[in-house]
Amino acid sequence: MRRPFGVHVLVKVVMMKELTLLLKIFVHLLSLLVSSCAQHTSNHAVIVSSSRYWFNYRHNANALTIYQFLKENGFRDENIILMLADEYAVNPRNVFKNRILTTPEGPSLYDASTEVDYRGEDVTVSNLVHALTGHHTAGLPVLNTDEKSNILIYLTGHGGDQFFKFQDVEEIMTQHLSAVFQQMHAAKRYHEILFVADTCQAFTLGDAFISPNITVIGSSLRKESSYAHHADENLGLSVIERYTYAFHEFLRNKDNTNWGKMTLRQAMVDPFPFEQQRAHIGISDKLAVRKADQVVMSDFWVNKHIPSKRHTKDVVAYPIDYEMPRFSLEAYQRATGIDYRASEKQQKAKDDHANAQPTHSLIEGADPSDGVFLLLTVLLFGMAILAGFLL
Amino acid sequence: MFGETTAQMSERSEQTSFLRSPSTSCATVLRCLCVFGLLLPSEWLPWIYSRAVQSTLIDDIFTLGHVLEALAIRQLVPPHSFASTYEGHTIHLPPLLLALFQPVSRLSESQQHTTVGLCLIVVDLLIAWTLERLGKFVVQQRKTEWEDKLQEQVPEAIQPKLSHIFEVTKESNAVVNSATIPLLMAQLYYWSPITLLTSNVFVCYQNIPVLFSLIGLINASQGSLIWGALSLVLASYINVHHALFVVPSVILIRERRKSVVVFLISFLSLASAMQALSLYLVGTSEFLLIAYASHIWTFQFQGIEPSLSTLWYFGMEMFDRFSMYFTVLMGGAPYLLVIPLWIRLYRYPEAMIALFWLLGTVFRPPATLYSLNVAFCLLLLSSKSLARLRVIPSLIAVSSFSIPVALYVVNTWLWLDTGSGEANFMFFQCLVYNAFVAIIFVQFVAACLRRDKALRLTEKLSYMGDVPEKSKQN
Repeated sequence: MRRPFGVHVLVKVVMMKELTLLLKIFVHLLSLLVSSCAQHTSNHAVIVSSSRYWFNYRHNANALTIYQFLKENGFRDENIILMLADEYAVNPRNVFKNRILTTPEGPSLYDASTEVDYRGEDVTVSNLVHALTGHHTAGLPVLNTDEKSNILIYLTGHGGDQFFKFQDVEEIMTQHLSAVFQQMHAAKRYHEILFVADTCQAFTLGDAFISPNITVIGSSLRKESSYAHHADENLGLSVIERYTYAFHEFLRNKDNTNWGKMTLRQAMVDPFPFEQQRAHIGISDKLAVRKADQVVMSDFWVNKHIPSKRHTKDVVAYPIDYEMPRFSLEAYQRATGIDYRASEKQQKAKDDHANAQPTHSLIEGADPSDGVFLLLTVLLFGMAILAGFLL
Repeated sequence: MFGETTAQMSERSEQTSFLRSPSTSCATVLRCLCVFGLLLPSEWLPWIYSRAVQSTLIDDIFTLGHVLEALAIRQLVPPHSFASTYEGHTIHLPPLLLALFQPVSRLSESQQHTTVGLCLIVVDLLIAWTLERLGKFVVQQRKTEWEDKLQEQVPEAIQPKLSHIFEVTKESNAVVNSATIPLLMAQLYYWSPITLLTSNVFVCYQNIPVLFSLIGLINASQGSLIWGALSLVLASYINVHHALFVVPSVILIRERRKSVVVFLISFLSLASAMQALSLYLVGTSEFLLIAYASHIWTFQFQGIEPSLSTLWYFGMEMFDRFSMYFTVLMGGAPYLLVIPLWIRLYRYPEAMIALFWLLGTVFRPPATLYSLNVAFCLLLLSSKSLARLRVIPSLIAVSSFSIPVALYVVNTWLWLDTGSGEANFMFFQCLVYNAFVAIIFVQFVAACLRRDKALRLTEKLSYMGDVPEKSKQN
């Protein structure tokens, strides 16, 4: 039976539409593949320790461990956003003054070269969002990334089911992070993101992510906690988390330095079984074109430029017996010709003028040896005692 | 002494007053030795002089060091007036008290220590003597026939359980009875190593407002309106919390059928006059700031040193955003309880005295063992309430509070002196200590309420004619 002419045309139109749609999808996927395969041209990192108070020392140590590791692998401070919510090196309870240590004999994770971009009360949800999305907040650094930038985002602190705490005041939810990444993707601010969280129920932070090319690694799954690795008896508290410590020790092992071939899964998941961590390491690469066993460590953990050792002229070691140079005002004045005491002289002149002016107080104030004061005191108490006799 | 009956002991204590007691002379000699550094010198027992031990005993504000610091600040800060002393919000002594200690600065350091130490021996003597007089008035002289009469009719089922220890009626043969209580109160204070260390080793004059408060209460009990008001004004000028003792003073004055209005007007007038004197001393431009620094600052979490007080504990442990909440809670809590306690216990001013003092011990900084020592002395005023204490919680609290104190000292030393240890251990001991003090407070309040309830019930039954004679009760 012959179909009517209209149906024939309709079928053709529908088939054309399907074909067009398929073609569009194919092109999109192809472009994604191409873009993913296209090499990134820069590496950036955002490291956040969101915890305050002395007993959260280990979160600070986590962040600084990652920071120092990145610096050793050629990252420059311009490419790292380091957020530390509290200062532990100078905490009065820190017996190792000006140092952050995870082992008593180890090097300090905090030294003269550590550049903290957001500190103290600047570590907030909104500032993290601004830093990621590139919205400049007065004086605070942000990520200068483009569509060819690989970004490592490392969060450590206290977390829960789909949230991450900031300073016991606020939380950022997975949905919020997802919205931020969508914004970044729309603005072409990243090539690939490696999102690492070392908190309790860390893996749940990636539940709501939908933007492409994001790999999520969490140190614990839902309803699991991340634990500390060891405590220091001098400090009296735990100094680092298990996952970060194990990960760092794994990477420092000279047998594991071939980061150009070692994949994310091989370096960040497989070596850390449940028996060691007491939690399962979660990894999700469903959004990424390149999977975790295809992406090599150097794509995120080694700076795109020539990797350099820690002790370069950019990085100054902080010796224990380091003495801060003393600033000499006299030398400064000789060098600059500026009278640095000018403001002090002006202030003194003002004070002298004020002191010379008659004061406008109703009562000036007296000395305890003042005769009038003594007389008033004697009168007051004398009259009170006399009245006591009478009444 | 051994083998005496209770009656003989009572008779002997009636004849022996505190001042004439040989134990007082011994204690005075010991205190003098401490002042001159011959007993408990720092070379033999350096740990006593550690910051940890001192923080449990003394209030840093009422020490010679604070006075000398004030004088040094005055010399450094132009225009070197008396008001300059309060620059930098470091000094928190009231101006008149600071002026009182000015002559001490002209002495050498050892002379300062000795002079003030000897004066504080006299103050402690007076406090102990005043405690004895207060005890005599409350337990021996104050007319409470209505209670004695009712107590005889109290049914057996609601009789106090500890009446064999604390005297409830004159006929009972209790260990702690009206004859022994006054001397016991005085000796519990004067012989206490806590007061000895506080006044004569560390030369802390936090006992001065205590003396004024007790004198005020004594004068009020005797109907001396102006002197009572003057003493309480002096006490509350030094420590604002002592103004609470106006409440039991008013009750005692009413019992004497004297004018409460005159008393209150005298109190307010004298307080105003004291503030006017302070104003004359410091000048109008700085007066408000200095008044805040002297009287109000303790209500806020500023400049608090490590101690056993709840204010220190909450100040360290709370998050900043809760500071206003805890300021209102810690500052207002003791005063919120005044009116309910007054309404409920207006017939027992002696219990109110102890309760108001305990409120200050729990809520007001700094909490020292000295204030707890005074609290124990004042608790003895209410032996009829003590007889209704629940044994187990009271015994646990009283016998156990020394444990967190000892642990507090050790943990403070570990944290602050050796640089090791966990600050939270020290915070926890602070919390436990205050929990025990709070238990003592709550148990005593409950005992007072049980006492009142038993009397009210008996009174009600007697009106209804349902109370059988004592001999017919089971």
